Amino acid sequence: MESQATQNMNQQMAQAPKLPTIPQPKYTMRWLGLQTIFVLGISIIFTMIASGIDSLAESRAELTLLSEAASTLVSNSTGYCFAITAISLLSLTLIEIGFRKPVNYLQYGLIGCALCLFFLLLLAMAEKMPFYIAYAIVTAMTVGLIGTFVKGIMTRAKAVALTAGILIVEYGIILLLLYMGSMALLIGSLSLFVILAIAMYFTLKLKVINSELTIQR
Amino acid sequence: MSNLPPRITPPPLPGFPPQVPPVRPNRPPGSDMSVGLKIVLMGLLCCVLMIGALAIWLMAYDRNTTSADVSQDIVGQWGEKTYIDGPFLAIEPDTDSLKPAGIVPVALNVNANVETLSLHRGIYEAEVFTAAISMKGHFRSSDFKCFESDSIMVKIDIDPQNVTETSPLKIGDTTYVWSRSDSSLYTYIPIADVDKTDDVPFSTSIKARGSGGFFIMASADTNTITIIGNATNPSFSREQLPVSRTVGKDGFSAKWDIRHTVGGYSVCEYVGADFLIGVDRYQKVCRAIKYAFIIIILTFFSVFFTETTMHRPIPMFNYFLIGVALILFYSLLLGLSEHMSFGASYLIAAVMTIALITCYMWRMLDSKGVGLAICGVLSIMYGFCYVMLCISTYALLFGSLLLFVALAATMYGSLKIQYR
Repeated sequence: MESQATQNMNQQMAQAPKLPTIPQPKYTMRWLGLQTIFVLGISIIFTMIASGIDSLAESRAELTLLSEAASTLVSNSTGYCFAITAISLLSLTLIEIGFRKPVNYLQYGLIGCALCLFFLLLLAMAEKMPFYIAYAIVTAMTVGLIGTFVKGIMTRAKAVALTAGILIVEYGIILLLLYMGSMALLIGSLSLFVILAIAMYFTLKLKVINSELTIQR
Repeated sequence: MSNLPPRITPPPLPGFPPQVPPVRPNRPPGSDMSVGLKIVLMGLLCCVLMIGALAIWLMAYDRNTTSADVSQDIVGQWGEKTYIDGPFLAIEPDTDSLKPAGIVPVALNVNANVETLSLHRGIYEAEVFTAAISMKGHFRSSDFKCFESDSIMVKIDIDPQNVTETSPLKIGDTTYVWSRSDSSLYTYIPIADVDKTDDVPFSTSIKARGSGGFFIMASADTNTITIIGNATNPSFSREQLPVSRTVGKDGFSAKWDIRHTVGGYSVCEYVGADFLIGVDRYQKVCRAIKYAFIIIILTFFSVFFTETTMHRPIPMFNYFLIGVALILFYSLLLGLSEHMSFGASYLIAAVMTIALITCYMWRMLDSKGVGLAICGVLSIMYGFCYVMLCISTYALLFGSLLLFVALAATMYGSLKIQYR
């Protein structure tokens, strides 16, 4: 008897209209904290890979496949790997929160790979052509690749424009610093200060609304 | 424990559910992150930020090495340490006898004015000096009688590369022009010109240049050597410390008064001072970075304390940005110090960093009081850090006391943290 009553109840429950469920908030402060640590972690890993590319540039210069000047420029550019990876991925995190389009960890890793591959491509191309031309071509390739990837993930032109814009500004600043000589450290530090101030300004718009982080416009 | 009276729970009122104690979650209000997780993440963040500090330290170390190489290169072209020995009457070397190689004067009075200046190559620089040396004294007339030749050589041992200008040697009323050899200045005096009845006075002056140090041999029986200069960091020779010395912001002066009971070179020593060739800005930046960890920890605790007392959750991302600003301070300090004095660089970098974090906290929590409080905390920390960079001997004691005060303040602050 009891089993019959239970079966009837189950049937009634199955036939009952399903109530809308409240989704668990994704963009919580805990998520942002873990995301920050994740981005910094993979930035460190890619920086180590970039230092390997730096060593490769030196060995290619020793084999006279790469000019001494180009080798120095490639080596100096790899020094900015951590900054460019961390800034780009953290910007993407803010864009993800702003547009509510989830980007998973694998996609973050792939974008990091593209940013790291920039230096290897730069080294390879600098062997065959002047450095600044190689730099322009590789920048266009990297920005194009990441822009297209972000378009595929987010399907929002504004998100793509923001990502591409941030990358172009970063690569532009690095190119300037490479040719700046002894003033590079000071100008680089001041540029980072300005970027940090802009990032702080945007995070001021980051509010917790209904337990979820939201960028207020 | 057994003396405490048993707790009596009142019976539930009829028709009302039994009272249950309110749930007190172990997390800041409004935050979905527990305090434990937040502290662990803050610790991880500190470690990651210290990697950035390490990178800046390595950069400073690398630039210090480059700066030292460039300084040595500049110094090599300008002149190295200057050693002056003489004047003395030179005797032809005689290996069969135990005669000394020279006869020293009875009295020697040297006044040297050492002016340091900076030579620049790009952002690197080296401290070098020019020295104006005047020498006076007298020989015994009897010393000239032992020479059988017609003339006698008077010699000053000094590297001729260090000598820029000489004035003639004046003995009595007659002057003699100096000539240069590989390792000395010398001139010949006809024995007939020397008055052998009385002491033989002499005087001369030399202009020299060099770097790293300036030393004069106290070779006479009675030596009075005075060196003045504008260097602020002389290190006087340890073998013979000056009888009187003053070192200040405007320069230094030192005086040696040395009397030898036994004549001859065996008891003579160089007196003078070593000077710093390079600049110590990179060492100061490296020392400043050592305080990065404690500054980050204390700042994070201040922000966490503010977050808890204001009941306004602050995301870890914002902590990260504050940490980056604190690390960026050292990069700014290093970059600015290559173009201006360390003190001015420290002031500018600290003001920029404090202003950025203060404005950030002010706008984030919409509280002017919080902004001013963070500004005060950061100003105190950077101020103390600068003081510790300036004092060397008492830095450990001062730093330990400061840590004690910081720990006490942290303990007091933690008592105020209560979750509702």
